[in-house]
Amino acid sequence: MRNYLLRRVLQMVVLLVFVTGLIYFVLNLFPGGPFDFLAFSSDPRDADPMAIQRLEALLGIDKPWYERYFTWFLGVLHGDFGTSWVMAVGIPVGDLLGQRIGNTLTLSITATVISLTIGLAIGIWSAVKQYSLSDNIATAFSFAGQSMPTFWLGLMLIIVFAVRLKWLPAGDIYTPGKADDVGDRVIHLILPVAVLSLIQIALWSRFVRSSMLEVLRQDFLRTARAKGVAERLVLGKHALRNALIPVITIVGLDIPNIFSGAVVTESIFNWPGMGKLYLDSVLRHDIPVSMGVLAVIAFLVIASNLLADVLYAVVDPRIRYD
Amino acid sequence: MATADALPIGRAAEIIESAEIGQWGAVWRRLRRHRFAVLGAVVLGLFTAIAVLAPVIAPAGYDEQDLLRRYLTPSAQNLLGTDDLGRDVLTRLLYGARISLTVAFTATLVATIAGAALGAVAGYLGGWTEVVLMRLADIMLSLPQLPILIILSAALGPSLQTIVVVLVVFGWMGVARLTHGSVLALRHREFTEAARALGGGAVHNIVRHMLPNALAPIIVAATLGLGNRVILEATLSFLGLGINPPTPSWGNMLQNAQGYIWSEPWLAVYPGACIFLTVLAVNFLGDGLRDALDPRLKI
Amino acid sequence: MALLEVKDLRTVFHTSEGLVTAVDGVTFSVEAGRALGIVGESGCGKSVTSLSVMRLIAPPGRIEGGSIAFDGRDLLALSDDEMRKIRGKSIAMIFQEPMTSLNPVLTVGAQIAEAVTTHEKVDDARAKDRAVEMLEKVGVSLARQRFDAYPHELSGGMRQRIMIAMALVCDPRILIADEPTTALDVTIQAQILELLKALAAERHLSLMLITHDLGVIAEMADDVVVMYAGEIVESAPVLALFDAPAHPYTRGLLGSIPTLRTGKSEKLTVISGSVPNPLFYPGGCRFEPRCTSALPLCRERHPALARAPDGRLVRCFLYDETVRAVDPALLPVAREQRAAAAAAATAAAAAMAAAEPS
Repeated sequence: MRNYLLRRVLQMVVLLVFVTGLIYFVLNLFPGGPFDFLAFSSDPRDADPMAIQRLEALLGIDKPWYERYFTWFLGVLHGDFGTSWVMAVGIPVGDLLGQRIGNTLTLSITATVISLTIGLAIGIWSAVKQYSLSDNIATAFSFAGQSMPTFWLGLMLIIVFAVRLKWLPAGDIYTPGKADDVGDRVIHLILPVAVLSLIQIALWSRFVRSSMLEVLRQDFLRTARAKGVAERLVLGKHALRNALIPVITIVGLDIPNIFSGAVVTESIFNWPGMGKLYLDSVLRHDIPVSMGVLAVIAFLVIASNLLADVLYAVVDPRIRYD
Repeated sequence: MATADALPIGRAAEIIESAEIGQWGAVWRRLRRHRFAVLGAVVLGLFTAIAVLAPVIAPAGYDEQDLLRRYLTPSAQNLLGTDDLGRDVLTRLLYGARISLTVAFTATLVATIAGAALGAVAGYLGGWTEVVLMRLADIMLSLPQLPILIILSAALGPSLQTIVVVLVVFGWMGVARLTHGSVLALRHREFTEAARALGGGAVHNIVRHMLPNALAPIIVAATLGLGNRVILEATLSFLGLGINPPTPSWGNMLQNAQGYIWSEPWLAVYPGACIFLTVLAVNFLGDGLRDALDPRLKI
Repeated sequence: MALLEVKDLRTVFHTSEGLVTAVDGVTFSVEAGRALGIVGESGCGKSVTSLSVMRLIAPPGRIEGGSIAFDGRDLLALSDDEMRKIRGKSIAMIFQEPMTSLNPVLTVGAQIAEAVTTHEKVDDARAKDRAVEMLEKVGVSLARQRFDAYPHELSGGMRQRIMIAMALVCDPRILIADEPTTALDVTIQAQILELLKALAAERHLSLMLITHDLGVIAEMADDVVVMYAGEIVESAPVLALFDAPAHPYTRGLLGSIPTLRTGKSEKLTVISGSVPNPLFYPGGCRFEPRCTSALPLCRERHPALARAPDGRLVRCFLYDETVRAVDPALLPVAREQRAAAAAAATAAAAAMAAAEPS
C-alpha cells in the first residue's frame, strides 16, 4: 500500500504543478502589477518607466514567467509564499494566510460536522423508510438543496433573520468590542454555517440514502436476521458498516469543495477567512496572495485524496493496494 | 471471395442492428409517466422560450434608466417594480434569462461534445492517449471548481465569452469519463468485430456504433450539467467575475441587490428565485431521464 | 408429535400486478432426528415455505393462514421478540449463496461468535472459543487463524462451512438448508452433504432440506415432499418415492434424470410446457396443462391431497378413491393393460390378414 500511496502523491504533485503553472501563466498574460498605482500618482517622477523597471527588478518580476513560477514553487516548498503586492504591501503572504485560516477552519469544520451528522441521520432514515412520507420530504429537500445557489440562500437567510426578524447578525465574525465573547462569536457563526450546511446536507443525505438502499438489498442482512440478531443491530451494525464505506470516500474527496463553498459564503457574510482573502486578491490582482491560497488548496486536494484512499482501505477489508 | 475468418456481410449487419438500442419509444413512455420530470421539462421550456423571446416580450429596454422612478413596488407599468436605477425589474429578469441560459446551454453543448469526443478517442485508441486523457480528467475533477474558475475568469477578463470558455474547460471531464467507459466496454464485444468486418474506419465505428450506446448516460450527465452551469455562471456574475453590468444576468442582479437588502430586500428575491426554479426544473428532468433511460437504477 | 408441524400454511405477496399466493395450503411435518426433503422447480414456493417457517417474510409478503407448530408452540402466534429468540437458537437456516450471505466487512469468526452472544450471556472470549470449536467441527483447518479471516479470502466450500458453523453453534433442533450446495462445485457438494449428514447424526438434528436436485434428496432425505405451483403434490418416504413415484409430476422429474442404465437411444422424459403464472392459477389441477395422464375431470376440479393405499399422500385424481370407484378403467394400470391388449389385438388382426390368401 505504501508504494501505491507514494505513486499517487507523485502523480498528484506532478499534475498540480502543471495546473498551478498553467494558472500562473494565464495570470501573467494580463496587465496589472504592484506598481500600477504609480501611474495615477500626482508626482510625474513616479510614472517614470525606468524607475518602474528598477522597482520591478527589485521584486524580481521582470523575469520571464516560468522563471518566476519556478522561484515561487521552490519558495512554497520552503513555506515562503512571497509577499503581497496590493492588499497589504510588503506583508508576507504566509502571514496573511495564517491570520485567516483559523476563521475558515472554524466555519468549514463546524459546517462539515453538522452536515455529516444530520446528513447521515436523514439518509439512513430515508433508506429504511423508503417511499414513506418522510422519505419523500427528504427527497424534496435534497432536490431543493442541489438547485439552490449558495449566495441566494445566504441572502434570503440574512433578509429573514437579520433584516426582518433581527434575531441574528447580518455578517462579520463578532460584534465590535466583543471580540472575546464566545457566545457572541457563536451567534455570528449560525447563519454562515446554516448556509453551508443546508446545501451540504441536501447532497450528502441523498448519497447516504442510495448507499444504504444498496446495502439493504443484500443477502447477508437476511442471514443476520436468521441468526436472531435484533433489527437495530442488523441495521446499525451490519448494514451501516457497509453503507458507510462509500460515504467515507465521498466525504473525504469533498473536503476541498467545502472550502470553495466557503468562498461565496465568506463574501456574503463578510467573514474574514481565506475564501474572502482569495476573492479580494483576485479582484485586486494581488497575484502572490492568490497563488498562496491556491497552493493551500492544492495541498488540501492532495491530502484529502490520500486520506480518502487510506480510509477506504482501512474500512473495507476487501481493498488491498499493491 | 470471403476468407475463412471474415464474417459474411449480412451476418455482420445483423449483429450491429440487434445490438444497437432501438427502444427510444419505451424510454419516451417511461419519461412521460414521471410527473416531476414532465413538470421540469415544461418549466425549462418556459424559461427557454422566455430567453429566446425576451426582446419581443419585454415591456421595456433592459438598460432604460429612470432615476425619478426608482425602487417602485409592483404596479401596472412595472409588474415587478423597478430597481435602484429605475429599470424595470421584469425586463431585466427576462433578459437575464436570455443571458444566463445562453451561457449555460452553449457551455453544456460544447463541453458535452468535446467531452464525448475526448472520451471516445481515449477509449478507442487506448495506450498513452487513454492514460494521459483520463488522468487529466481525474485530476481536474478532483480540483475544487470555483476557486479556479474565479481566477481564470479574472485573468481572461469577465465577459460572456470568458464564462463559456472556462465552463467548457472545466466541464468536459464528466462526459469524457462516461464515454470512455462505454467505449471501453464495447471495444471488445462482438459487434465491434462485426463493424470492422464491414470495413468502417475508426471514426465511423465510433460515431455510428459506439456513441449511440453511450448516449443514455451522456444525455443524463448533460442535463444535470446544465443546471450546474447555470449556478456557476450566476455565482461568477454575482462575484463580479462574470457578466458585467449593465447587461443583466440573474447573478449580477443579485450582486446589485445585495447592496439594498436593508431597504429593498425584494430585489434579491426574484433573480435568485429564477435561478432556483430553472435549476430545480433541470434537476427534475435529469432525474426523470435517468430513470427512463435505465429503470434498473431506480434509487 | 413431530418436532415441526406445518398445517395449511398460506403465504401471499401483494405485488403491483396482483396477489401472488406463493404457498397455498401446505401441510407437512418434520420428525425429530429425521431429514425432510422439499423438492420442486424454481418458483414452486419451496423457499418461501422455509422462510415462512422462520418468519422471515417481509412486506409485500405476508403469512396469511395456517399454523406452524414447533415443539408444540405455534410460531405464528409469537411476538417478534419471542420469534427472534427461536431463530438461530432452536431453528437455524443456511442459504444458497455463501458469498453474499456473509457480511463482507466482518471476520467470519466474529459472525459466528455473534450467533453465540445473541442468544447466550457469554463474554467475547468464551464466544470466540465456541466459534473456534465449531469451526473445527465443520472441518475448517487452522480454525483459530481462520477466525480472523474475511469472507472474500475463503473459497465457496469454506464459506458454506462457515455458514453451517454459524447455524449450528447454538445447537438448534432443526436446520433448514435452502439449496445449500447448488452454488458449489460437485466435489465440494459431496463434502458439504457428508458434513451435514455427520453433524445431523451426531447432534440428533432434524434437517429440512430444500432443493431442486433429486440426487441430493436421494442422498440426504428420509421423507420427501414434492411441491408444484405452491402446493404439495406428493409426500412420501424417500425410498417409496424413488421406487414408485405416483404423481405424474414426480414421475416426470424422475424420468428426466439420466442414469447409468439409461440406454443410448432412450429418450429422457421431458415435461413439456412451463410452470403456471402464479397470478393466474388454473381452476382445476395446476399440473393438468402439462400432464400426459390428464383426465377431463382434472381440468374442472382441483384435487385435494389424499392418502393413497400405501400410506403416501398424493394430490391427483388418478389415485383418488372416489374417482376410481366411478370408473376403474381410469386407473393408470388399467390403461396400460388396455393399451397392451389393443396392441395385441392389432398384431393378431395383422397376422390374420397376412395369413389370408389374397
